[in-house]
Amino acid sequence: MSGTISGATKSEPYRGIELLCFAVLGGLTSRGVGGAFVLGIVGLILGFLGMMIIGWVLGALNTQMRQEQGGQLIKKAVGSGFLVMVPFTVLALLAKLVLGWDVALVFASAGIMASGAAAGSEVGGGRMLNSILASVCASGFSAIWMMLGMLAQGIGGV
Amino acid sequence: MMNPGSVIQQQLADVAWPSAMVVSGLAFTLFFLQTGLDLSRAGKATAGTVFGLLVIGAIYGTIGIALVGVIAWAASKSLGGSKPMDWSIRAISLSYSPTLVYAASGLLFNLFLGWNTAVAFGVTGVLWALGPINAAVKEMVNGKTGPSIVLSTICGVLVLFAWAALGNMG
Repeated sequence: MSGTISGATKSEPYRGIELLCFAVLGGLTSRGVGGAFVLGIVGLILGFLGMMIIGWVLGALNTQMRQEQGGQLIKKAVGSGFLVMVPFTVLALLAKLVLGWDVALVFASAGIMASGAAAGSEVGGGRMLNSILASVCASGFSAIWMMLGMLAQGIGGV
Repeated sequence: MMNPGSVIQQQLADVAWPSAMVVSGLAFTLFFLQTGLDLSRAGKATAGTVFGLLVIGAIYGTIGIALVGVIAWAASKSLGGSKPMDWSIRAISLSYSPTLVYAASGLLFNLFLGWNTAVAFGVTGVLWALGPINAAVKEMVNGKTGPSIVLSTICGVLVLFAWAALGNMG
């Protein structure tokens, strides 16, 4: 199936805002300033890897689309889907700084799941499988994020 | 094609806006009730406080969320959106369907197992509404990603701070 990527995604450049969201959410997971920087970097790397894996899965599912329209478009679609991380990141930031709530892990987890589903539907391609598999990948990504975050808070004491 | 916007549009065609408001109203009623029950279990709330929180949740989930829908509609109009106000209220209210599922599940654990569920189930449920809100808002701004993200963030911030303020009132 050839499939399509939304016109909005095609016209929008890859911004990297979604990677910044992962860095911020990683930093917010920390309980100290020094740890915030380290976890910010870890968050950025994890986010990059997670988005790359979801991009690979969607690319493998939509080989014809990839050949006809190029792999960059799928990467852009995943990036566009992961822009859904922005509201979750802003809310997590405000919750921590203004309300004093330490809930970055919960916000990140929900954001990753919502973004994964959005990335799958951005690619579309006439296949519900895109959304389902992107959501499954995002669930795994979210679980890894939660586990590493709790480990960092508990064992590492950052 | 799996397009959340068109799925929402199809689903909304048959739902009257007062019915949609029942979904968000019930979701926040149950959520605030759990906040009250958690506080009561910790000895920090009387039966009257619990009832007060329940009423606040009902008002917030109906009128408050409808107001968020009106704000989203007004903002979408300024961005060239063509959806009517009642569509926006229905879409934003129905976006809290996952919250209702979480709140109902949480209440069962709260009542039968004695768990404190307001944070674990309530906060998670409210966060799960952000995805559907973003899909609905994107439909309202003709599929533009940037404006939909900004509007979704504004809607989320409004809900978060109103919720935090009302929770403190209880």
